[in-house]
Amino acid sequence: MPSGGDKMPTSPTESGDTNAPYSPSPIQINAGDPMNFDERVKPMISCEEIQDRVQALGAELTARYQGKDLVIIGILNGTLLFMADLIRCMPMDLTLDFVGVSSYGSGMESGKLNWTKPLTSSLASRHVLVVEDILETGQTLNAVVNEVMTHNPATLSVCVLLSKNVPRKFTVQADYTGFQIEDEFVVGYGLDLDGQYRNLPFIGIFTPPDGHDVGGKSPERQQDRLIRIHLQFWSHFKDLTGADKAEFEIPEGSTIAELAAMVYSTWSQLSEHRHSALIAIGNNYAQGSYQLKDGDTVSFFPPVQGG
Amino acid sequence: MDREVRIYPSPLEIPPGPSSAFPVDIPIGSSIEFSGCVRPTENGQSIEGIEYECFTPMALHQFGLILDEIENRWNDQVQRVWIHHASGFVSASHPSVWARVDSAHRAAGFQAIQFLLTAMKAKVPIWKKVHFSP
Repeated sequence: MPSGGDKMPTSPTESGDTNAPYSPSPIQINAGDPMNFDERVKPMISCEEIQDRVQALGAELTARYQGKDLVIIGILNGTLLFMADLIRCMPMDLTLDFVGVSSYGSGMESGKLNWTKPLTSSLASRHVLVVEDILETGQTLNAVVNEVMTHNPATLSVCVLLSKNVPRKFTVQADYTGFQIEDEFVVGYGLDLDGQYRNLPFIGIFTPPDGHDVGGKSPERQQDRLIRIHLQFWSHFKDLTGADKAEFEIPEGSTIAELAAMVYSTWSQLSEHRHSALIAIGNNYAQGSYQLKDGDTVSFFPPVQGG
Repeated sequence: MDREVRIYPSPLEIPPGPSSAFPVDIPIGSSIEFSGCVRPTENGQSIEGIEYECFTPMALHQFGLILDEIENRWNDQVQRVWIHHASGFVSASHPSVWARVDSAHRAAGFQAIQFLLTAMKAKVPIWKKVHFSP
């Protein structure tokens, strides 16, 4: 690879041969200069490692989707660089779309997911690849995947640049993963902290100065606000779970239906009763779509037998 | 519509009703009382009693909603509804639930009390645990 300087990828016109077949050129972005302008960011995955992995993923995806009607959907904003590099390693016909999803961080009343940019492509019967920058709890990806499924694609797969080794709150999984990482706050190559650091060509760990907490500063991700729910179990559900009460932490804005799914996967003995179980929020029967708030009490119980 | 909902341990404190105390204190033509009691056998087996587990705050609230519904459906026709339900253990052959509906005419009274008991069995969070005889 050429060293130093700002060298743009070669194109057929630059090399003088306008008839040269298209082939993906190695991406050269400040190859000799790590562009680390902030000593709080410790490099973790280098520019070269990223480019090698992106090329490998591109080749794998091309082999899979060659000849198929593919649309790649990137989740804004963190996938910006990953998408740009990935698609340039996929020499095949494809189209793109982007969706924007944000969940409000601290200081905002609702943690619900907000579509800042909706899907506009027609996806029916097409092969869809959803691309995300980082998979943690799975909340954002889960919402996007659910939305895409309502459009009846032929197939749906997920590709993530980074998969964090933390517990998932949702069942969505990545079919293609760039890198598995531990639970660190990472920035660079599209990933931000409060909007900053997306332009780093490498991925690094952000370490705040002593006494400062990174938590709550990143409105889009890596800090899906958690709220506390008080669970109650009645009648023989107490015997099935071994408890009459429990505390649960869930992403802010989760619905009763999402909470129920988590409860049934936590206490599998309860799961076989899911179709007859009743759920109440406070003193009222719950709707599945109700969005939970911090401190809500949710009760699970079998059909009632008064009188 | 006058109303009372109570949930408390057995024995139920059933107030004297028109069957024992006249004149009736409000202008009604019909007073219908119901007592639900614990049957002494379950599937042919003899039982000591039934233990009632109650999610009391929600049960009181749900009873309230049922009474609201009665007031809407039979507006002005039903004057008074009382209901008591036992919590905890109730011995066989003793009452676990008592209800009374006072109305101007009997048709509304029969309908309302039927509605009350059916709705209770569908909505009020109370569960039974049978204690069999040894």
